Amino acid sequence: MTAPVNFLSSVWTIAIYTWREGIRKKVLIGFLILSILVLFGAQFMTAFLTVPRSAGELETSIDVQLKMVKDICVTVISIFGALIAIFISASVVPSEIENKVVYTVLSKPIRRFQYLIGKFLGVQFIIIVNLALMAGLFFVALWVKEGVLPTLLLWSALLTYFEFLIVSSFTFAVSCACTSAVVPTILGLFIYITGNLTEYLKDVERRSGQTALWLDEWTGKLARWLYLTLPNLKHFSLKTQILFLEPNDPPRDVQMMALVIYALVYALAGYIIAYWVFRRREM
Amino acid sequence: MKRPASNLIFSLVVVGVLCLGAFQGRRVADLRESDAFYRWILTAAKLAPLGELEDLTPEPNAPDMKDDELFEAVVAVTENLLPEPAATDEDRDGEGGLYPKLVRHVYNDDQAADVLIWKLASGDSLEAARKEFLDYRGKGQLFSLGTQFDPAAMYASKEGSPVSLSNLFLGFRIMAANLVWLKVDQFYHQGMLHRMLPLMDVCVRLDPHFVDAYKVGAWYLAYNITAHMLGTPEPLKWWDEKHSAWVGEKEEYYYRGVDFLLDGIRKNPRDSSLYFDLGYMIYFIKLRDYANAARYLGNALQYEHEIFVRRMYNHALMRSGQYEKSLAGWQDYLEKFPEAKTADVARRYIEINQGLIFERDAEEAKARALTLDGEEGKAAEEEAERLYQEATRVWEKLRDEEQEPYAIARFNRAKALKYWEQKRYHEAVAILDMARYDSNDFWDEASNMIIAIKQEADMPLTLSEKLAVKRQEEAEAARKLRQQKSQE
Amino acid sequence: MSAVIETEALTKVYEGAVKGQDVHALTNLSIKVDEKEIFGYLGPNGSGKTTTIKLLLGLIFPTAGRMKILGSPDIGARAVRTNIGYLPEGAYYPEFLKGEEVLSFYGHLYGMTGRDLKTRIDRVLDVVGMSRARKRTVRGYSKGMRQRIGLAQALLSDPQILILDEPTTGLDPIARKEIRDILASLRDQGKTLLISSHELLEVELISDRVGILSEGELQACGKLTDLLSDRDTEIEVSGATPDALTRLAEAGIRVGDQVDTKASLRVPGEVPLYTAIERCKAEKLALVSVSPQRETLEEFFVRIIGEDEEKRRTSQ
Repeated sequence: MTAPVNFLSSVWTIAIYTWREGIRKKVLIGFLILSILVLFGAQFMTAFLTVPRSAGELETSIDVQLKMVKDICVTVISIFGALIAIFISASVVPSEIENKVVYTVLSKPIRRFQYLIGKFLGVQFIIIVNLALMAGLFFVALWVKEGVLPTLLLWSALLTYFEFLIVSSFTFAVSCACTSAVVPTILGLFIYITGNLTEYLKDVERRSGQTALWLDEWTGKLARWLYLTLPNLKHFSLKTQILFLEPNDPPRDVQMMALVIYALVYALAGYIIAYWVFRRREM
Repeated sequence: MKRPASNLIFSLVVVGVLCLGAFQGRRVADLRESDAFYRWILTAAKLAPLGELEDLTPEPNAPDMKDDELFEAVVAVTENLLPEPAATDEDRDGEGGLYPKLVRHVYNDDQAADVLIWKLASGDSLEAARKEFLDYRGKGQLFSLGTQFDPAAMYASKEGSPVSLSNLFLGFRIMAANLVWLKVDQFYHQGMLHRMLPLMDVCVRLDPHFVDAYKVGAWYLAYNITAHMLGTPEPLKWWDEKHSAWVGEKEEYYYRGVDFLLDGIRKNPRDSSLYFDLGYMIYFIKLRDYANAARYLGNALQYEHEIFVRRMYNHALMRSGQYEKSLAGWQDYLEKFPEAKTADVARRYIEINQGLIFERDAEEAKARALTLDGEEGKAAEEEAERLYQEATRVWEKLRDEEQEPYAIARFNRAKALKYWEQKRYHEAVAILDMARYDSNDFWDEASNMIIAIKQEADMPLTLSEKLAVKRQEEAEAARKLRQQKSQE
Repeated sequence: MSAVIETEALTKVYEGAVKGQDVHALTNLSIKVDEKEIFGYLGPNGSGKTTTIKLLLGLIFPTAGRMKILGSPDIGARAVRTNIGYLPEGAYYPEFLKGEEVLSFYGHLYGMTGRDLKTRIDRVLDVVGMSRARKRTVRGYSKGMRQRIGLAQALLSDPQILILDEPTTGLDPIARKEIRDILASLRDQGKTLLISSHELLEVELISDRVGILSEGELQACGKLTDLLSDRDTEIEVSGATPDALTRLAEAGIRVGDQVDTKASLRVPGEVPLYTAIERCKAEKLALVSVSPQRETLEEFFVRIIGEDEEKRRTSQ
């Protein structure tokens, strides 16, 4: 067998194994069931909340209800999807170190580089399948409810995946330096939340410099630097559009390719850090 | 076993890739900003002819609004770069001046021009304006900000400070708005208006694109709340600087509804139903300000709209005396929807407008005749007579064929006028008194005419007529007094 | 015979959080493991056995020193890794996989596929005696079965070298015996085995050579016959009185266990056996048995460690 084939087949084996092991994690299944429950529950919940009092209100309340269903579903997909992505990225490597499978795997003729790619790919499979499950369910529900193919949702799911890709790659990088999943999970959540609040930094920058204090000024500078370098996950959200555009409208105001490249570059950075940390890591 | 060299390489690579990411992020953000700018240009171009870009009523503590200034700067640049747009009949403002090319392009809804405007908005030529735009946006100095689909703009829009209410809900902001709305509804049904009003505000702050909240909210303000109020007597009304109108308690709520809808329009400038509700539900029905009604209904037509919007627009045009436009509107309507159930209405109103044009022209000719002597005067008088007859023929036709009440009323009005002219006062009054019951729309006009005739003929007024005259006088006096006061 | 595993002044220091708290896990370790031998690697817990193994497998990195496996200094090279089978201590195998699936997973990592892999899995399952349990999931395996699956995965690539970390720890005596038999048969097939253990009996029974490790330093290394003295003799007597035993001890005979009047006496090599028997006769002791004794590894171990500690104490 030639070297590249060997290389890829090992990576693939590890990825598949990671995926098979990952989807059995109880926490993950719990999140998935919970999110599916909420996706279904949203229908009933909103129907209950928006009982029309008169015929005239019916139209409005149907509209409000649909919007709430969409809102809940999009939010649930993004939050639970992120939780799953973070949890799984945070745990694959530490749990394997903990149960010592890593010893038997790394003593085989594979390089750490391959091992890490395999693990990372496996994590991505899990994230993609989970996202596809949740988005697919919502897609069908919306299709049935509105009668048109909600293609906008597919675009949104695609972008959401790339958002998760960034979060998961950095969480993964942190996890490569840790012996348990707790620290990387917390940091992953932190990355997710910070990434979504990057716009705040701009505000911090704008508000700083109002006093002559050097601390104030430097806070502004720091905020500017962080704003420039931290990934801005808000870019990947199509929620407003899903709520306010027609379900089969093309996405507006979104530079799909630019965003995909954006996500890939950050994911690459995450992976390089992961390898950097893991390369000389002592098991 | 440290390997400083490889660590150095790794850190350099990581920094490099992060820089690449930051660069790409910058690109995305730039595109986003250009996009926000582009959308603002479109919105501003839409709002400019409506006079909505001027901040007429600056609030004491609010920052200085720059919409007008910025738009002028944009127009100054684009005027030379945009090609001449195709001519339409909406090219000119009230004084006959041609709108800037940008505005005309946007009103033409020209796809090719949209592409061009996007290129300009994202290109170098408007860079200075774009920077200003971002600066103003950051400082909340643009009230016309097209916040649709631009989280950054929404974030930094003038509505409250960003680190506040709307962000507390993180992902569920819009859902929160919906829940708040349900609460608004509940308070309304419990009659707790004092609780409902602030919540309405919170609701649209949470979700500035909640169009239904704007619509239903304005309807609450203009209809449900005012339904139980008594009209404020004229002398007790006060001058509302912001809306240049004398307002009482009811009117104040009407104007609150107007402001609420205007806010909604700023946030959702491309939603037809908001313009419609503002034009028809409030200006037309409640305030009977037909000029404004026609203006906003005209705007509603710019965007995807329901078929009745056109009809209401034509009605408003007629009521505000723009008969030719109304006539053309109805003809257009008939042409576009010949199969519609309302085609009959269109036909009828084409005739009515025709009749009204004759009437108006006749009255103008008559007024001219009074100022002219000799041959010219005579010619004018004949002209007036001819036009009156034309009008009467229209009314007769409508009366006989359609039993159109408005036509009957107009017919009788013409008759009454004739009697009045011949000083046959009692007959004139009798006819008007009867005619005003034919058509609602004629009631006020007929009543006023009756009072005028009676005063001229020194006939005794009825009690209600006396009251009306008295109110009118009191109102006049009060207004004069207030004007004097305000001048001092 | 050429050395398949060779270390030279191998040193591993775990840096502590505070300076001066460094842990010297391994100091200047130089060992050679020859082809086709079973090398017993002995030492109490925490003596550095597992550290050495991890170093050899590239799981951790040496602070100083060199290693060569199969003559190659690049221990991560494919050719080297393919020729090492490793059974870690108490490793976990994915519970949800069947025995053969575990092996198939590891086989893929070796780059084996298709028929090759299948025949190889059949073969190793046969070797470790797990053919019947191959379709069961790991969840249902006993500890011994898990250890056998571990052994099977180590054997998958038919490696020249097997590194086994505590292979029999925690198993019942029968399972130990079975594992030991498998290991012996592997040596007979010409494999080189490096077995670490803190249980000396296990290693004693099958090792050709041993290395003894204490506190990160190699204390002794060599053939069992070289390391152990075999000149002692044990005499079992009955009817012993304490006085008699004291006198015997004075004559240079070590007194071992005593039960009632029975006692076992140890005659060191320098005391002639006949002299000892004469003395027993003189004390009127009944002779129960006389057997030549080889020093057990355990005793050796205690001795070596004891000497080491003594040395340490005196040097301080």
